[in-house]
Amino acid sequence: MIPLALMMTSLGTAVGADAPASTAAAAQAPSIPNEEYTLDNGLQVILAPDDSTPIVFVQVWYKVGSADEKPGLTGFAHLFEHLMFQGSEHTGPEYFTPLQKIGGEVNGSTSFDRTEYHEQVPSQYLPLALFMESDRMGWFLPALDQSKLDNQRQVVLNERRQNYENPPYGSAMLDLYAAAWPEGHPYHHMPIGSAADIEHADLASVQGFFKTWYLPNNASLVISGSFDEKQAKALVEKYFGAIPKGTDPQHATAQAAAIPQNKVIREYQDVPERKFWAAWISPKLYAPGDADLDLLSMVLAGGKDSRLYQVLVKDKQIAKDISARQFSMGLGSLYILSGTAAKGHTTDEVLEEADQVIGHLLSDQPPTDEEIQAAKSSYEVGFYQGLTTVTGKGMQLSSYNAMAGTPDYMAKDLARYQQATTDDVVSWGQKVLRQPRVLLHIWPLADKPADAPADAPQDEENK
Amino acid sequence: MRLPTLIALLALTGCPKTTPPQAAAQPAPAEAARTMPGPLATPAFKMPTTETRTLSNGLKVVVATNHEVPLFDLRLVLDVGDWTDPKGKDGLTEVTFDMLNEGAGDLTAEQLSRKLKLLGSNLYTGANVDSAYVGASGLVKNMGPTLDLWTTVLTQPTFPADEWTVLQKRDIANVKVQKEEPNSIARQTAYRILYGDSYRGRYPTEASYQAISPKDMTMFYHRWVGPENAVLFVGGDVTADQIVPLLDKRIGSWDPDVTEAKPQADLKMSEGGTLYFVDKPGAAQSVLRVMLPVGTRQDADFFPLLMANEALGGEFTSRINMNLREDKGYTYGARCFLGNWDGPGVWGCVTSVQTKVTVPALEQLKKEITDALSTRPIEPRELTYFQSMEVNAFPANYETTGQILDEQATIWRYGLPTDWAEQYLPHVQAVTVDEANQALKDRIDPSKLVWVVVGDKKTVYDGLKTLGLKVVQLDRDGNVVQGG
Repeated sequence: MIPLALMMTSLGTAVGADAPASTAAAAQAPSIPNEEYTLDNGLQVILAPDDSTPIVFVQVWYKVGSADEKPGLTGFAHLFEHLMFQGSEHTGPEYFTPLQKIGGEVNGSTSFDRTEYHEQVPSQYLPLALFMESDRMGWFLPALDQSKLDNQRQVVLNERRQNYENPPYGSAMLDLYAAAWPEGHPYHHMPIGSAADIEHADLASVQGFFKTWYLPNNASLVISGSFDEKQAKALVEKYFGAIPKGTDPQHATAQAAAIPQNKVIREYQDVPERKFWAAWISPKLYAPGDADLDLLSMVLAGGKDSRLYQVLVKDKQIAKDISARQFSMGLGSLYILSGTAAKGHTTDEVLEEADQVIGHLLSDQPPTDEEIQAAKSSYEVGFYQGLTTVTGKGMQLSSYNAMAGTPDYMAKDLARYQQATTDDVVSWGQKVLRQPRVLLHIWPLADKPADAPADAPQDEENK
Repeated sequence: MRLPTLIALLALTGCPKTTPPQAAAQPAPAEAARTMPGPLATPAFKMPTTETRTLSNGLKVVVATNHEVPLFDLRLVLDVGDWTDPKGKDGLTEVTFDMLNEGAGDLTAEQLSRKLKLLGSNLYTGANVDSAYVGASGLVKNMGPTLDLWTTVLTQPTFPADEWTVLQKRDIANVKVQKEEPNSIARQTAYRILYGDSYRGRYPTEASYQAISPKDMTMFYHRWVGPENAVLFVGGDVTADQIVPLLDKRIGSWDPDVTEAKPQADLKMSEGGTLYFVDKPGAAQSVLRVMLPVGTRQDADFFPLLMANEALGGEFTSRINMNLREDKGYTYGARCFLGNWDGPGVWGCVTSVQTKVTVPALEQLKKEITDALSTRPIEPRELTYFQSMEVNAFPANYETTGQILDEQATIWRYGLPTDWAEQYLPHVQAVTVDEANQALKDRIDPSKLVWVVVGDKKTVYDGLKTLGLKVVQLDRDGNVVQGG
């Protein structure tokens, strides 16, 4: 725990006097009590009862993401996720129809490392939610046909246009990830994939993908909320128990990647402002350094008292905004510094100044105790905020289970932040931010120099 | 990861894949398990209760206690909003509330930010179309010092000029940003057309931000912000008995004079039947938006219209999304909405579609609306479906403190009956299919619809003229493009 006394002393405020004593059960330390077991077919089950509202959250988490995609099939894991909402053998043609009728909140998502499906339903509809999820785990293929694939291919292409092609700067992350991770690395492409690959996805590939990855022994099921544990266990066995176990799939692996040398990409697009993104490869989720870099981000750019905000936005007014963040993933992460130049300034000026601030922070002007304490307190409260909904609890349990290897990781997760020292934060900053980086500048078309190539992004090596 | 170990152990105890099928004589559990199950017994649901108190200065405090997590959340909600912007200074209300965090008492923005981070607390302030808020949240153990900071920000804002310089630049830059973002262009265009020069049709401009000074903010604050104009909503791991003395000690004597009476909104009905086009060269998609003004939440046909909207376009499984997305594949999603504020609200639909299907998508959207009013009225099964959705989804609306405070604020801010929440489901369930269809007919006159398309002119403009609508090209500020 953070020593409370120290925290308050640094503020110079006595607090105990008029803070009401908390009566919350979770007042001591944030945690998500749960029971975990495994079915004979390998499906891992995690039950987390919480009777505060008569609703229940069901999530199935498949250990397959865009990192597992084969060349030429980028975007496939996500396209597949869409197809899983087109009904399975016993559900009728639309997954949403029976669940929305009973007030269910239904969705799914695909990331680099996993694909998850969830529904929040009134407690009395737990059997329906389990039936629906189990049917698509075990009986998906008989209901799949070409017309569903054709339709969802179009829907996904529209999702790509809506989120990556039409909005200003929509392509930035696609380009940044492609430049930061080497060709062939599982994170070289984003989960949305390439439009051409999505166009070419065929039925045989969809079937093969399902058979390879959508197995009870490659999935976990979380139930959180108001339910009877004994009843839930019987229902889980009833609906999921008969799904056969498959051959354990071979997950994507990656050698520790490095950006060999600084790389600068300059793009000119139909955008209103000059923005930049700088990316470094950093420690993977829950690895040593991951939490330290979160704390570093808070000192650098977390709020108006942060170092970069004070110098770049407030004092020099060369940046309109500035952000620093660790984007944690299972096989390796990116640490991304990004910002917008103030009117009349360039992103090069912003970067140069940001580099100065970061350089000082990592050498002669290390974070003060107060800065580190403030960063820790900001993270601590987030742990409690995640406990206010059954959806938040369920998602966290699935994530801990898959990515940290146990659903009971919250105390350790919090301790990563609480135990970090100033030296840890500085030394991880040095280790990561002194490596080569990828820089992406996106400027308005009007800034385009006359001698810039017409189409291809200008790609210059430096240093 | 420990999963591989577990699977290896299970492989020794038997692999279901090789288990022979169930013997025919036994009941077939696998088959029974493949029939869509009904519900279990419906658990009791008790709506969270609130307690109302009054501070020494007359400020009403509504408390919703929830001991689940050791957090608190409180927000003073004020009866001001975009409608309190003076003409020529559009944006004044919002920037005044944005600036509260930028300096108060003897604290600078930097000091405030640092103190809040040390507490793990959040202080949030802002304004929107017709309300404003000054809120604080955090861990109950740090509630005292957080309330101190919240009180300072609420009662002693300093509106420092140097911080306004920074924010002003950001706000001016964002005016330009919004003119590049297709959804934002479509939204602003539609509201501008519908509401003309009234507050809902006006947006801040570079000139209006330039015209605003810290002195305007100070004057605005003194004119509008006081206990008469506000209610304080408190929730979380704290009771009324605990919080009221803490509040009375801090703001019980806060009582500035607030004299302004609320002006009548001068809302203008637009001439409909026109399609307004805004060019976004090279756009990968066209943003389609259709809107018209409707009534208020207090109208007798509010619930029938609410249910009709759900059947037509409010949800994933509504007609319009099922057609445009799940049947045609034109879009990632299409939804219709009822926007209700003070006074008349709007009904509308929004979607983004691939550029080359702009015209067919508009045709389908138009067809769904006109069919619902003529050949394919809302059917009883559709109404029953969405009534079931509302009834079943209801308890989930009361899971978090934030949801409860939002609902309480809405009830106060829009003058809804105090038993609004209790009566919500009875009202929903009482709607008949005839009432739903009548509400559609009364409120949605297809000839009055305002259509907005933001997309690539070169590809889509000529096709728009085939829709039987008058087509007018506008620039991003709402001016007619001659010869467009």
